[in-house]
Amino acid sequence: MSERGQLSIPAVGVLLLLVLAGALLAYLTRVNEAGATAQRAADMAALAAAQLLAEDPGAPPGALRAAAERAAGANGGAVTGFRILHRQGLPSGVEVVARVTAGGSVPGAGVRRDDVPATSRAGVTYSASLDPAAFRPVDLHGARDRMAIVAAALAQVGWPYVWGGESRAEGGFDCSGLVGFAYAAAGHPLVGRPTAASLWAIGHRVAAAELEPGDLVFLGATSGAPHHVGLYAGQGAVVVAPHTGARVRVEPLSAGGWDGYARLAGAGPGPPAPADPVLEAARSAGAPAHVVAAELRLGLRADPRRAALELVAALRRTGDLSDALADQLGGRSAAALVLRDASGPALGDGFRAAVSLLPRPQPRSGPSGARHLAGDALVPVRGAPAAAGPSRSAAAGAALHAGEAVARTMARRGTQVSMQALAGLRNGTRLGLTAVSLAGPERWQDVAAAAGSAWDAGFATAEAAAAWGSAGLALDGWALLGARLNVLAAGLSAGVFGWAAITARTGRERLGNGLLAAGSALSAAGLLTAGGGLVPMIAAGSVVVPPVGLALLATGAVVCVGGYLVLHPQWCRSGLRLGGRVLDLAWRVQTAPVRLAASAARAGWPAVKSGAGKLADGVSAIVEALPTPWG
Amino acid sequence: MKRERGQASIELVVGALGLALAVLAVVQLLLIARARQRALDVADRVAVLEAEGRPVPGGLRREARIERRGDLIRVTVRAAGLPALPVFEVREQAVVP
Repeated sequence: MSERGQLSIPAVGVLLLLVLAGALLAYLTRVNEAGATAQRAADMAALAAAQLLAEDPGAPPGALRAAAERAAGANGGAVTGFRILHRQGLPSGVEVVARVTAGGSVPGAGVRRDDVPATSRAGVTYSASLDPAAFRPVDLHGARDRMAIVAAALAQVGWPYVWGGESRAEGGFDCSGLVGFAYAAAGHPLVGRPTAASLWAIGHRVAAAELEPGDLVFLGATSGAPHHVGLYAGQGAVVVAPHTGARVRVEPLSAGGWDGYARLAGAGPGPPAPADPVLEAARSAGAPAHVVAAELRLGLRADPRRAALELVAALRRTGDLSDALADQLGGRSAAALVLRDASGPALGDGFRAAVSLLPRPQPRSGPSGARHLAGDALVPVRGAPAAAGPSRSAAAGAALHAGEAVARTMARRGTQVSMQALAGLRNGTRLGLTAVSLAGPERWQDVAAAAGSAWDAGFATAEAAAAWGSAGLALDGWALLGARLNVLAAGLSAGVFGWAAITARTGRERLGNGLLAAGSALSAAGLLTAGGGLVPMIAAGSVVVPPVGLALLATGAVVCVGGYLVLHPQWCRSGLRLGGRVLDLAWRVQTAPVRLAASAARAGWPAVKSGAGKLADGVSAIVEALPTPWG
Repeated sequence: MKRERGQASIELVVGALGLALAVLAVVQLLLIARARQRALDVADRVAVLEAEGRPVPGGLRREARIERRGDLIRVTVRAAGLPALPVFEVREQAVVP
């Protein structure tokens, strides 16, 4: 009776521990789900803001943030951070930090509220193309009348001439077509399809000295029916579509041989052409002025002359304005934004934008340094006890965070701790491997763990062989305490690795973690055979691990080694390389006497010395080239 | 002595049955947790694909029932169940911008 009472006390203790662990696990699950919710809220918020940015690259930050907040709220989160990403000074995406609060009661820590933040970035890629069957659309940016006419004509600089009779969609972009387009774009459409002669007929004659921007200059006017027309751009320059094979260009008034000058009533009374450095730079370089102006407006270039020269050079290389802009600015998105700014709404479907999520930024540790798994990303968690100020609850919360960190480490490394309380008691080297796997440098931890598992496999196999036919391996005292800890650690490891396998994104991770979970479970099962079950394992003063239990331990360790090899395939490659080099070295050593003797027979003693030197060099090179376990 | 042995056997059998039931319950819970995780993943991926204007791959539609009503995306994943247990369905939803 007394013995049964003693047994029930540890059983009740274990039960309580299990309940506590269950409550903690349930809370951590809530935190994990909050992490996934926060990530989704951040993703949707970033995409919502990016969509708005795609529709309107000039959207104000407040509107973008409002769109992000709406999307985050609809997905159960709240935006706590927002910024617009830029490339080359132009908006290229947004970064959003969203937060979800996980709340609940944790035994020993009271009511807790943990803020789980997540960060997401969405990018916008713009593209633009011009209709090859129409003049370039122009955004006049408030210019009116004569200056608007000139701006519309100057935007076509570089556009190929097509005679009206061989026209594209609209009757050809010849000299009079250019004039007609410029007047229409400025809001003064001409009646019908103008020709040089018809423009001369409706125009009011002026002297060359009276020319104002927007007036027309003619060739062949003395005959009464001119055959060529240009548009005076001010500052002694004419923009003209010259002839087949040439492109729309700006040329000095004096260079064209113009013999007639006229003013159309529709142009209206214009102000004298102001000295505009952008216009002047574009005119002198022969660049489309509206694009140069857009580059300066968007802050992509500061010097109009340099911008115009670069654009002309790029136009010569590519022949197409959108390609030339991409070449000049180093990106299609920037080129598209310039074209959009230069062309305005008339660009229409020629302007497109696509949004997509960008790779998530690397998380940073929170103040506590504690982290929870959320989705596939580590997300920092900031502990926020419900009660403000230092309190038992706050202290318990901090302790809980520390406990979580220790539990995670123990769980991850449990398989290695597992068992080799047993072996470690016999051999300090094994304990050293365990210590390295728990607290050593990051890159060495898995190496030491895998080596420990291999060691365990050998140890358990040897013990199983030795104990075969007998009752098994007796454990008491420290060894039994170690075995009890191992059962807990292996069980925890099985759960953690199992969860990692369930949530793994790749087949390799799923298989590797699955093997580690199975190996851990086998290890726990092997130890649980001690004394015939859980109760003696918990309560008895000494237990015997039967040979079948030792065999299970050995199998579990081998499976764990397999898991590590699956997770670290580079070890296999390094091992194969190492094996190959060892075999090569062995072959060289074995055949060295024969080869040396042959060399000596052929060339005498100097050749022997040379051969020995080469052999020494070879050995030295092989030793230096031996791979490290992490390579 | 005989009576104590019999008692021990009964305790062993009851304990083993209890352990087996606990293991089955844990396995079922893990299967449901896996389905929930999958539903979360699928809802996330579908929402992102829809927001990016890309089509949803057939593979996702095969492993989950995906319904779209306006901006709301509802994903239903069936959890693998142990024999003789009812089918568990896990639902998750996302709102696309």
